[in-house]
Amino acid sequence: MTDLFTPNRRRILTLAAGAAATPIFAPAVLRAQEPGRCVLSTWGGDYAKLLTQNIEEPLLKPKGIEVVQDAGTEPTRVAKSIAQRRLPRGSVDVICVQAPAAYDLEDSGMLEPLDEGKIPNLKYVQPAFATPYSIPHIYSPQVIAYSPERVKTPPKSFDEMAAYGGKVGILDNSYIWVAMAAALKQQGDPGKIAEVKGTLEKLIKAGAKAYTSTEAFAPAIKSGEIDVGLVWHARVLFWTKGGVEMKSSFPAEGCLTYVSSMCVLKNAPNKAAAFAYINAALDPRAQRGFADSMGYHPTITNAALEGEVATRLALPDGAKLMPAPYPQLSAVRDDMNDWWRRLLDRR
Amino acid sequence: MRARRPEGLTASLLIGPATMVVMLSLVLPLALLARYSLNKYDRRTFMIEAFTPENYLRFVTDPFYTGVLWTTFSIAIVTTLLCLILGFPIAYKLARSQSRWKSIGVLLIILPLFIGSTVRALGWMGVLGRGGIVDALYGALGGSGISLLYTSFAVGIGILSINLPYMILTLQSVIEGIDARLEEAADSLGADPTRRFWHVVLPLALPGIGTGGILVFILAMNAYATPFLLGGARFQMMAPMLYREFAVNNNWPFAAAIAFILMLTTLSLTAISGLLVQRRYKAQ
Repeated sequence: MTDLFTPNRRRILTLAAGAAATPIFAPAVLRAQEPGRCVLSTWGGDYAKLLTQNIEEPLLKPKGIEVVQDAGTEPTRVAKSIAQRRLPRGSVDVICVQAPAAYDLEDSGMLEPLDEGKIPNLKYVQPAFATPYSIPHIYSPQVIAYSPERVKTPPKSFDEMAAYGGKVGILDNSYIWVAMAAALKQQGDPGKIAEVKGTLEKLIKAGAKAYTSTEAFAPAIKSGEIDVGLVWHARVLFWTKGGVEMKSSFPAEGCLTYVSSMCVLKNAPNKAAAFAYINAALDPRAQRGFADSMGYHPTITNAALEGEVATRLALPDGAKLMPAPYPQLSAVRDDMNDWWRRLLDRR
Repeated sequence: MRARRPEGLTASLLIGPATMVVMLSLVLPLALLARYSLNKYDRRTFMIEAFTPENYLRFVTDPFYTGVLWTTFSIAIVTTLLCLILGFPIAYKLARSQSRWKSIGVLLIILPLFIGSTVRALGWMGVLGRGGIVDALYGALGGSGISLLYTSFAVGIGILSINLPYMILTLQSVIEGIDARLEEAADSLGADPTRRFWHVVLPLALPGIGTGGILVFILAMNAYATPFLLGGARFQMMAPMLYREFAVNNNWPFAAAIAFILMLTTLSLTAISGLLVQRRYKAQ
């Protein structure tokens, strides 16, 4: 027994030397990637799982592209990309971020321009959500979710919803989308975000609830803590599927839209694979897969939904969908975040 | 003298690797963090190399941030005192118990430590939230809806429940070290139980109270999951604020400054209380 592993000095020194040398060789190991490998920076959880099921396994694996997911929260992944921006070769090919973050990355000059030569499916992208630096992968309109049990006449605009005062629920992490919805209604321009501070202040003073986790919204509607609130339509569909009594009302002034984007970084180690990934993400099969399982709408014109999914995701006639005003959002976000923190703390 | 020398050498060789690990894994990141805290934040490039006290000044000159530090400090002090008041009798009873149930008692104290603080915070959400146990009981008694969640009370009780076992276990081991015959001697000399407690047990248990107090105080100052889940968006404490600056706003320089301010506050308060206990202990 003792003969098998006698921790003598020489052996321990060898082990220590080996352990110490590992980090030196690690970059060389990472660099020696096979030609068909694509590193995807993405959120974890269901989204990552569905990417594998709908894009990576059926569409990329047959082409010999192996995908490695680098899963994490958006700010962490963005920070990592920014930290690597000076390197001639980064570690990520495709990055999945919300559209506002995609705008910021482009603003910092970090994104590879996209065109139909590189991504043939780009021609099918719905014009409202198209940008020269990213693709819209999925989208979902912002709606007024309400409890059909307690709200007999569904609110038809931001102001009608805000009239519920203390019975309004706000998701802390997307409060700025509530501000944009208010700006759209009251200023006629969702970009006039700082101008609606007063409206949000009134709402918070009236006792509107702020939830730190998105998941807390459904139980709050269920228990009667709140009656209404602005959330993504896909969320309402998801919670309804889970048995919570909830309905969506589409504000008459228009719905700002959540868009989940995909971009290629300028220092991507394998750009060919990155373009192939993005092209596959715009494939009708992949888009229908996401609509079916997550309740998010396809962003392309050639993926009409059919059957039960089409009925479930159908938008009412005259629903006006629009992307967020990214440049204005980006300009005021830091100040707004600071202001919002203080507003909540004041109570 | 000559014989001792190789011994010292062996000793330093033996503690060498462990010291290196501590140096590399603790001191280096802290040094890096200290450097970051002097940088400037920039939304596009994320961090600009600089040498400015701006982040620290922003914290100390803004009543909002000092307010958050104050809230954190008050919660930590209150929970530490409550831990002491609630924990001491339990620890004393356990330490002096001769019963065969003693080990079960100790196990019951340790048991909650097997469950992560996040899970326990979720449990409290079920108790204190709307439609929770307290709400239901209040409703049954004729009240109309009560939600204790997202209040300082919820955060306080959450931290208390998490820290109490640490306090009890520390105190118990210290009280067990106090010779029971000293208390008997006090009895036989005519001291009543109150006098015995104040003049014999308490002074001897003081180092334990100090250690336990410092332990739970540090835990409370740095609590993250409990204030985040039970305090909600409107209740601000240092650790969740630090996390938000770091991981949501991506403002690493300011987050690093907050980390240092939290660390220095905790360390200096701990050092001061340690000195006070020591002085008092020596005076006895």
